Amino acid sequence: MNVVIVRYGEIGTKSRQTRRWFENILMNNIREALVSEGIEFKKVEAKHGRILVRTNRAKEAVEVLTRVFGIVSLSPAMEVEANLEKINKTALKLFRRKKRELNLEKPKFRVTARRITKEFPLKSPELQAEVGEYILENEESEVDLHSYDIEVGVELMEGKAYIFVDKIRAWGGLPVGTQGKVVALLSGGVDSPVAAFLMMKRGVEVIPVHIYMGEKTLEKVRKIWNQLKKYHYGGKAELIVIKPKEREKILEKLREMKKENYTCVFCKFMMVKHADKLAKEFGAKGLVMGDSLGQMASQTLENMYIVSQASDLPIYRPLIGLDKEEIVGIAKRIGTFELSTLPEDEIPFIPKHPVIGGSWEEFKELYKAVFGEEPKKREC
Amino acid sequence: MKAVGLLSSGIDSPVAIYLMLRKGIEVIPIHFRQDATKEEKVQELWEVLSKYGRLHELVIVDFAEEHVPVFEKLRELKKERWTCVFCKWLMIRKACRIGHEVGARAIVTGDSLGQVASQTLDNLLIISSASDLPILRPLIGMDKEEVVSIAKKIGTFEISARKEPPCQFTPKYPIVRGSLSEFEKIREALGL
Repeated sequence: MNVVIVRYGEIGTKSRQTRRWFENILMNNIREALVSEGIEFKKVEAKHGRILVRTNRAKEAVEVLTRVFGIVSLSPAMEVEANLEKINKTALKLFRRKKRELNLEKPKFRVTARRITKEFPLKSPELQAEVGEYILENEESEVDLHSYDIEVGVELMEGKAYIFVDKIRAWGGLPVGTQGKVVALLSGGVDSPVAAFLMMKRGVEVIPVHIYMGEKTLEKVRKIWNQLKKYHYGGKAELIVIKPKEREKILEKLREMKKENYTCVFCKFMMVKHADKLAKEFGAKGLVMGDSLGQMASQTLENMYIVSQASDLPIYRPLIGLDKEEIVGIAKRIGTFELSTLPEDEIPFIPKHPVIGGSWEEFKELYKAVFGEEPKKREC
Repeated sequence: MKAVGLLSSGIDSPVAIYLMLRKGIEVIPIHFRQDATKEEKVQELWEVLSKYGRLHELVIVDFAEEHVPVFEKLRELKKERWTCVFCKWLMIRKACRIGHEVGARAIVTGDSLGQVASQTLDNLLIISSASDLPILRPLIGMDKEEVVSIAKKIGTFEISARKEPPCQFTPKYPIVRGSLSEFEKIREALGL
């Protein structure tokens, strides 16, 4: 294999100008992915609605590129001169290899040809018949257009033929960097990395922030971010750690007022406040949190309302409609689940009975008692 | 736990409401009436969605109430390009106000990113400024394909996909990356 065919989806539907811009970002992210993983390549180029990556390490390249967002599917392919003899021979070679790999006596197959540019003398159905015939003559097999074990693809453009027998699905989404930046709060749990991941998938560059709890948790969050970075080629951000100075003061005051039940709401409020400040410094246009509903008693809309007032930026919660199982499923697929189960620092100040339906009025009073001023709130 | 949900005749918002109903949230759906075809579709969508959880009676707000006058003023100011941003901003503000009246603690929308040119972080930032209620966007991390496949599974796709008259207010070139400061200036000029 000497080339990888990269197919992208949603970009193809944009205006020509936007499309070129998207393609350039996608190609840049592809190059960064390959460079970061040490996979040599000769060239990455956009051609007729697909991207070609010229490399002799096509298989490894495909493995890396499935993690680049914006890509729908990938095929490691052989590029040859577009003449029938070369096409037939290459197709047969790849067919044999695939047959062996699948360990099938008499595989069913089909040939799917497409002329992207039209200079090749045979039309696509004629070429399919020719190649199919050649394979049938030389290898134990049968043609079945509908239920097949092997699909031989032939794409023709600009005097070259691209032949492949694998089409590997990627994540889809949009290229990272096409949708601006957001700040993501990373806690070390299962949820927040999945939330950050889903925003990346929609083309957003993520700036990860961790509010310090202790060394063990920090170590874990670093590992999680290193894993997430494998989906973030083209993004530049590194983990930012904030050590909150006001924590002791808040805890002490809450204890004094016997309102320890508000500790978690307060803690989250402050996290969002820190993230908000950082977002403004970085020109990020929103925050991402791993909030979901009903996993714990304190995950209520009431508490979410209070926490949301800590920022005037939109807070994105991509997990809000998902079940725990779905979230864990994604975490396992992207390789953050295992890391999220690593040990972390115990938090000594979690109250026994956190408030469930926190009230803004009450929170406001507590905030005033701690900071001497009322917290801001939006209106409608 | 209660939330208000914006319900249009499109593919996305019914899926968003479904996902929240599924999580046990009580949803009060709000539709902004533009024309009879869309309203009829919304009624049918309501029927389907009500099977999945505690969906309240549909609240209908007429477009003529707040939206149309604002659109007319935007035209006078030669700021038609801002029509869609103001349209959504007004919807969120109204939903927020209704939400407070009925004791809801959040707003559910079918917003996603980058599916059409005007779905940008910049525009969502502006639109979000209309509400103190948190805005829940369960589709924000999904591709169109995923949304469509849920819509098909729950039986809303066929209704949503039915033909309807296009919105008569959509400008030729809607603002793609609106700036908050310019928005604020226009908002003041509109007396909102």
